[in-house]
Parts: sequence; structure tokens; C-alpha cells
Amino acid sequence: MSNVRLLSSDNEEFVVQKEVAERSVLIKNMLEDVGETDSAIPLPNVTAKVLKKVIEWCDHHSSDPVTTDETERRTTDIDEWDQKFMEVDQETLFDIILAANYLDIKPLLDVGCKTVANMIKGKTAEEIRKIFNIVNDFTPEEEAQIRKENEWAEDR
Amino acid sequence: MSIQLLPTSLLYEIIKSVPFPNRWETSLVCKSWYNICTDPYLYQEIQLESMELEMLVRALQWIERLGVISVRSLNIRHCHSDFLQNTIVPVMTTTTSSYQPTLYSQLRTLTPDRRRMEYVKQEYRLYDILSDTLARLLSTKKLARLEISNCDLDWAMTELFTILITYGAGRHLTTWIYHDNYNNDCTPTVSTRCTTTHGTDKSISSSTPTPAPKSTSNSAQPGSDLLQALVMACPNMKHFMGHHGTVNDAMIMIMAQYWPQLESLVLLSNDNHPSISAKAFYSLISQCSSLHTLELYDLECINQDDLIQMRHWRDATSIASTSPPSPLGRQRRHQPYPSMRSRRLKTTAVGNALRHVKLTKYITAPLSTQAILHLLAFFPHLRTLTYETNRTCYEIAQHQSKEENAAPVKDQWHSLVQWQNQHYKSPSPLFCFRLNYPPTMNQLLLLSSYQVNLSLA
Repeated sequence: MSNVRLLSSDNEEFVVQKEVAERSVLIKNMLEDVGETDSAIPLPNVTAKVLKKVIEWCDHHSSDPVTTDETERRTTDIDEWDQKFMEVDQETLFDIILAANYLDIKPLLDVGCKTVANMIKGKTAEEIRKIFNIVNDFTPEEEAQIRKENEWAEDR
Repeated sequence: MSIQLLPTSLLYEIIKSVPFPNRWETSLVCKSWYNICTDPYLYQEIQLESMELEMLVRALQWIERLGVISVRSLNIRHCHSDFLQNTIVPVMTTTTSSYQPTLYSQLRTLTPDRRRMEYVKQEYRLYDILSDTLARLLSTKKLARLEISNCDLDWAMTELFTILITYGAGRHLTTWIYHDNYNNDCTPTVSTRCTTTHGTDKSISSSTPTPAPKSTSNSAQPGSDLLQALVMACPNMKHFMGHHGTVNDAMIMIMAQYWPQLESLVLLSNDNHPSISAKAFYSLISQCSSLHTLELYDLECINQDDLIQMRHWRDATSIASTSPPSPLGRQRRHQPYPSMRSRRLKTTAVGNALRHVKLTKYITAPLSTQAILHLLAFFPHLRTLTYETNRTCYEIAQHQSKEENAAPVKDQWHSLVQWQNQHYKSPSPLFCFRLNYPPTMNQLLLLSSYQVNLSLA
């Protein structure tokens, strides 16, 4: 089993099994293009802190089958391990999502997005704004207008 | 790092995962979120889960308001109707005796036409609105995937079906999943009774004749059966999943006739139903030549006798088609490209296309080893065979084998595995037996030596 060296944006090196690193389609393609190499793969968009998390995830899921079925991917729930894994502060969560997007790790991206969606679920607009620190840029009239359009959804 | 700094494409991904009723509230957060939540792009694949009928209708209305031009996939799961579940209506009796107390009954226990009357009387119009909304949404005829499962809605979404038929929206439908929906008739065929009585709207009266034009030459008449009409309205069907309670013999025959491109078929089990006969099953296998995946849960016609019968039918047809001077061939000499025709017939011998078969025997009689051998002979190019049974079945099998004075179970295993080795030099198919009972040491040794994948529950 050959290893791959990954270099984070803050120049920290990680040695991981090739199989684990290849959960990332980006790295997989890179390795295919470059062939056997001893030099570390630079990942300028990912910090060591986030890369460590991502590698942890890839390691745990290294033997998962790759699902290509779009609908199946979207509908399956987050498993317990992933839920635990995603219990991080918001900043790290978004960093993981960004890294998963950059490294092209679809299942991790899905887990991240679902985690955020679960934070949104069942909240009022005001609560969502508070959670994510979003400024309401609707004028009161506009908001009233949209609320009126969706009136029936209010009582749920 | 805040959520506002994420690229819009990722925000789309996140909002896609937010379930339906929460999206309205989410759209109120800020302008950019509003734009994402109301983007028709998000609504090409619609997933509606765990909703009351009113919510369901309004969700569809919202989607319609967004100006969605093409719905590709529609999934309705775990939806129910409060009205249907909670309404209690007085039942009129024929005796006019004044001593007779008024009787009440649950709405759902009434016959469909009585239910229809009650809906009108109580001015419950949601089904009509649902019908209209769906019609407008689906009139673009792009729908490719339709799933209705675990729903408790009256007439089990008859509206949707009639729309697919009347508007020709079924033309592009390739996947149809329909199971575990509460059946208000308490009879296995959802259809036969609903359709005749449920025709208050313009939909049903016009629906029955429409599916016919493509197939006027065929003698089989659709009748009033809605599901059958739907089968006919969807000529490009590739994947179907449903209960074999809903799917009766007649429907299988129509599937065989109208779904030439069928690739996978899943028939779930459903107690208290007339099962599919071997004849119907055989005609399906023989006519759907691209069918490669079958999952049959407790289908009665998969048993030793019927499998022998089916093999017999196949042998009979293959002889008929290969013998060149048959009178049938002479009569048809005027047909263009006769050689092409015969070649095609030869390559697609019945059962040859099948690659993956999954069988369970929980409530029906289990398969004997002989029956499995017949099955393998009927589907010679099988790559995977999964067979599930439980202890009771196993005991029945043992019991039967004793009665028939057949070989003990371990020898049956042996002959099965030997047969596999003889017939599959390479590549050998993957056998997967989920037996749900502890196998004997003999069986284990045997199986491990022949690379049969055995999983135990």
C-alpha cells in the first residue's frame, strides 16, 4: 500500500494511504496525471486544521462503496459517526464544506450540506438569521408581501 | 468564515437538502436566500415527504407559482390525509324505523362512490385542486421518475395517474415506484373499483379512450382499469417497483405487451391477494427482452412445478422458432427482413437477458434445491442470485424433503454447489443466500469451499 504526501496551505505535511487520499476526486485525478511521485501534493486552499478533519473522514469512509445515484445520495440520512464528526463550530463546518467542494469529495460535501440544512430545519426566518448571523436586507414591506404570498405556510 | 461567504453553488446544495415545508421560511431570511429558494432549478426533482394532503397541495401550488417549466422527478412519500383519517359520517340505513339509532362510520370504510359523495357534501375540494395543479405542473411531459410510497391518500393518487394518461405526460416516464400506499378498497386491485366510481372530474371520462391510439391494432382492451391504462400510457418504462397485490395477472400481461424496454422489475409482497400466475410471469419474461433485474418477494409462481412448466414453454417456443420450414414462416414470407427477425429471436431466448435475481420466501412455500436448479437453468446468464428465507420456511423445506423422501438438506446443498461448478466455469455468478437460521457445520464447510456468499441474520 503506497502512501501519498499532502501539503496544507500552512505548509504542514500529511502522509496518508493512497486509497484514503483517493476519496478526493481532485487528488485521484492529480495522481493519475502525475503518476508515481515522491513530492508532496500542495493543497493551497486547505488549512492543516481542516485537512486533518477531512483526512479523518476519508479514513473512516475509505471502504464505502461510491454511490453515483443522485437521488439515493440525497435522501439517505446522516449516519451516527458522521453526525458526531460534524459536531464542530460553524466556521470549521463551512471550512469542511469548502474543502470537500475543492477536493471534490461528494459524499463529504453532502454530509456537510445536510448538517447545515438540519440547522435550518424547523426554524423561523429570524432564528435562522441569528444562527448564521445574516442581515435581513428585506424592507418590512417586502417581507410582508412575501409572507402574504405564502400565508398558508405560516400556521405550521 | 460565515455562511454568507460560501459560493452560491454551495448554498444551492444546502437549500436543496432543506425539506419542503421549511423552504418558505428559509426564503424569508434575506434576498439572496429568497432568490435561491425560489429558483425553478431547484424544483426539477420534487421530493414531498411526510405531509398532510393540504400541505402537499400547497407545496405543489408554490412550485407552480415559481414557474417551474419541467418536473423531471416526482417523489411523494409518507403523505396522508387528515380528512380521510378523522372524518366520521352518519350511515343511512334502509330501514326507516324511528327506533333505529343513527350509526356512524369512518369515512375510509365506505365504498369509493359513497366517499366521493361525502367529499362533495362536505365541500372538501382538495383532491380537485390537487388534480388541477398536477395537471399544470406535469403538462410539460418531461416527467421521468415517479414515486408514490407509504402514502395514505384517498384513491391512492388516482388524480396523478389520470393526468399522466390524459396529458400524455407518461411518455417520458422511465421509472415508476408505487408501493405501501394505503388501499382504501381493502382489495388488492387499487384500480378496478376506483376508476369506475371516481370519475367525477373531466379526467377519468376522457382518460379511458386516450391510451389506445398507439396500439389500436392490439386486441387487448384496456377496460376501465386505471393502472392498466397507465401502463399503456408509459411506453418507455424501464424500471418498475410495486406490490404484486396491485399488479395482477392482467396487468402483468399488459406490461409484457406495452413495456418492451423494461429493464428492472421489483414486486414486493403483499398478503391477501391473488398472486401472479406462471403464465403471466412467463409472458413478461419472454416479451421484455431487456429485462435484466428481477426482485420477487414471495411470489407464489416461483416454485418447482411452475419453473419446470416455464422451461417447458421456452423449449417449445425455441423449437418452433428455430425449425426453418414451419408453416408459420411460409405464411409470413412477404414480411420484410425475415432474416433479421429470426436472428433477433434467437439471440434473445427467454430468460437469457436476466442478470440479477433476488427472491424471498417468507410467507410462501420455500424453494427446494431442485427448484433453484430449475431457476438457474431458466436464467442461464445469471450473475447474482440472492435468496432469502427464514427458519420457518427452512423447517417446512426440511419437512417436505422428508416426506418426499428426497436427499437430506446437506446433500441438496452439495448438489446445488456442484451444479454451479459444472455450469459456470468462468465467470461464476455470485450466490447470496440469506437464510436467517444457523446453518449446520456441513453446510458452512461446503459453502466456504465453493465461494458462496452466505450471510446470516
